[in-house]
Amino acid sequence: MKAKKVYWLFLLPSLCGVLLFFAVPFVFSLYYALIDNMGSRAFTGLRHFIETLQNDLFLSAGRNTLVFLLLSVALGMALSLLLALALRRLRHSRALAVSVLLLPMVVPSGTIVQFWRVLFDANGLLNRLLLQMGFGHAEVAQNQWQMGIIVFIFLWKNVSYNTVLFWSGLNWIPQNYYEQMNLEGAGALGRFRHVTLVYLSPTSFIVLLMSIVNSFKVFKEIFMLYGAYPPGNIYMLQHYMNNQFQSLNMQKLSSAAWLLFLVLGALLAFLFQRQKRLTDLYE
Amino acid sequence: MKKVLGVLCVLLLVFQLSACGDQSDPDRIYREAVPGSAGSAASSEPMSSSGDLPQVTGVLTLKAQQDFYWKHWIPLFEKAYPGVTVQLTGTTEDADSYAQQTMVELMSGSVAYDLLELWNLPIYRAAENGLFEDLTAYVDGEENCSLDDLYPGIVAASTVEGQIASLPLAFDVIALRVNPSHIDVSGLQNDRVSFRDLYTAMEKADNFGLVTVENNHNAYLFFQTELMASIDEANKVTTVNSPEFITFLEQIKIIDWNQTNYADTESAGRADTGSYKKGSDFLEIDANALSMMVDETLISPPEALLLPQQSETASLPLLFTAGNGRTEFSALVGPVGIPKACENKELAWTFLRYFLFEMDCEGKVPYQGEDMYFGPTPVNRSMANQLMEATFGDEPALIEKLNGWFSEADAYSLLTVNLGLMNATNGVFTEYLQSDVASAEECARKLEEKIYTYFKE
Repeated sequence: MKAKKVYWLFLLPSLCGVLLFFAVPFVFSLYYALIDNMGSRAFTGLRHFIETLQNDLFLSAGRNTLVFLLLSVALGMALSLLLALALRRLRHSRALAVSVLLLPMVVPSGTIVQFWRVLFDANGLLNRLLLQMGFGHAEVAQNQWQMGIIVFIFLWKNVSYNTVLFWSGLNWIPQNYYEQMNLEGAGALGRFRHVTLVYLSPTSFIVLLMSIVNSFKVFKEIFMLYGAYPPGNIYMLQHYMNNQFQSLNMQKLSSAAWLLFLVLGALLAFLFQRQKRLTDLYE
Repeated sequence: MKKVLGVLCVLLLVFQLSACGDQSDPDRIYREAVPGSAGSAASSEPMSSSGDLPQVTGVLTLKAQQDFYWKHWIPLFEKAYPGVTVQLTGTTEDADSYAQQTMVELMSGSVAYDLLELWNLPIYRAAENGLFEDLTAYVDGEENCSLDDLYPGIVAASTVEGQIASLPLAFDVIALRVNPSHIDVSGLQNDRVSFRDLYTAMEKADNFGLVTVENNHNAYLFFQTELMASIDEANKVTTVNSPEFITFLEQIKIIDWNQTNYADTESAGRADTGSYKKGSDFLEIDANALSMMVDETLISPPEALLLPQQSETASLPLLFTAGNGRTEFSALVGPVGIPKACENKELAWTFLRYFLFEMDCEGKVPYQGEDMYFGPTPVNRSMANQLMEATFGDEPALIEKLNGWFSEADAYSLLTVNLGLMNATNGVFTEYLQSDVASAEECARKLEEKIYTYFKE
């Protein structure tokens, strides 16, 4: 009982912040989603939710966000794990390698976006290189690879952190498990599948959560690179909501935020449940 | 305990990922702290009549980004209504932060001012979202006021879904003034000038060895004018991806804007060693310069040395029209609305009513030397006529012409001018101007995509 109180005591400062700056305003936003406008404040029921769900742009933004989420999280996790495994095998200069890996995390976004702009802008180096390589002006100007570019930026920025998490997780796996597998004649793939992946699952879960969170945070870089109205294939839910704010439409903004909340809530609850099942299984 | 912690973790993550923000209310603190500000106890009370205007007392708070006109206009009102003090608030050089802050205030439904200037804010969307009082009801409630007294284009453009959420107190019309001795050479002989005419004139000037000297022209002014004329926000359509607009984009890229001695400030003009040279009052134009300048203040007497132009080198204004033939306003000056959350509505309306219907312009000129009386053109037709008569009294034909222009002017597209869309479209245009990759067709396609995204939101 005493231990429980201590838990809550430690959680209290964070809970206060979450309640004050997230939960309470978020509950208020539900009220805003249910009224006509900030002037009349007449109750409109679920009208804004229905309109939002019928809005082609919202649906398209949802699709783009999902595609980006799947690509960036999957690629990010795979790449991080590969790098962590490589890091573990590294005999020399490991500290230097870790420092280099962590470098993207300390570079301010504003600065690095300028660099990306030089590379990926319509008049940037990449397009010029493509022209040199013989691509036509029309093809280069079309530039439909924006999704690839933002996934690349996400990976550049987030892989390092995930790598460190995986590396730390790998270091916790007892070496004798691998030795046991060796004795039983397991190959590299078998050791990876039956030891590394299994004992890395708690870390993988954390990396997965952090990747999902960070995939939403990449909006800052996309916004700085492509502005409030990017090409259609990288128009994300955050663009939709940000622009609703710019258009003074609290109702559409609130309803979109609540829809996103429900979808994400369901996704995260599902992930937590799967993680719990997995943990119970191992135990 | 584990379950509770799990639920808390889910909630924490979801809150962080979903859009929500702090809804604290610093303005209320301000309102309570500043006696007489909007929402405070001070209110308007009838006083003994002074002149023709019903006298009221109170303190009025107006939020505007720039004080350029307001520092002249507010004293006019305070002189007419000596019992009222107007506090100007929010002025800043940073248009972006002004817009952001103001939008947060409007969205929270809690404002610390009685009147808001909506310049650079999404006027149409604000009206659509019911954030402002419907001024139609206020005008209808006055015996001596009628919307028919105002220029029809302004009223029509300001009417969104049958309501008027804001009205500009004045407006500017883009016109060109050309060196009279070069009118034949330039070919700019008509009353109305489109970008295509200007482009041809610049080509001709080049052939005749003249240098094109401009004051306010730059590629963006023309781009924005043409773009705005191609956007119909009310019907959510754009004609930006059309052969006409693509031709415009091609032509504007051919002009070497660096060769036009563009100077947007006096000091920049003075520093320019091109066709400008220092004059006693401001700048003089060389004889071989085909001077063309944007004039946004039509009711200013030719002898007013407000512009970097000597009177003898400037023609009477030639109206600039957008490529689609529409007569565009260059700006709605001081578009003002009364927020729904305003608690001092009666006094706020008194302020608007004065500039829209009551102001006495008899015998006044907009500018006198460097002193400004009103500046741009008032939206009230009789006020504008009074200013024009005082300015161009000996040129009735010009007054008639100007009045005709003002009556025809079409302000619809200007409603779309807000920072978000303008920044987005300007970005595409900049990319196109600087690029040796992008074509005019591609630029038009990108613009169309952005505008339709804006409409669909």
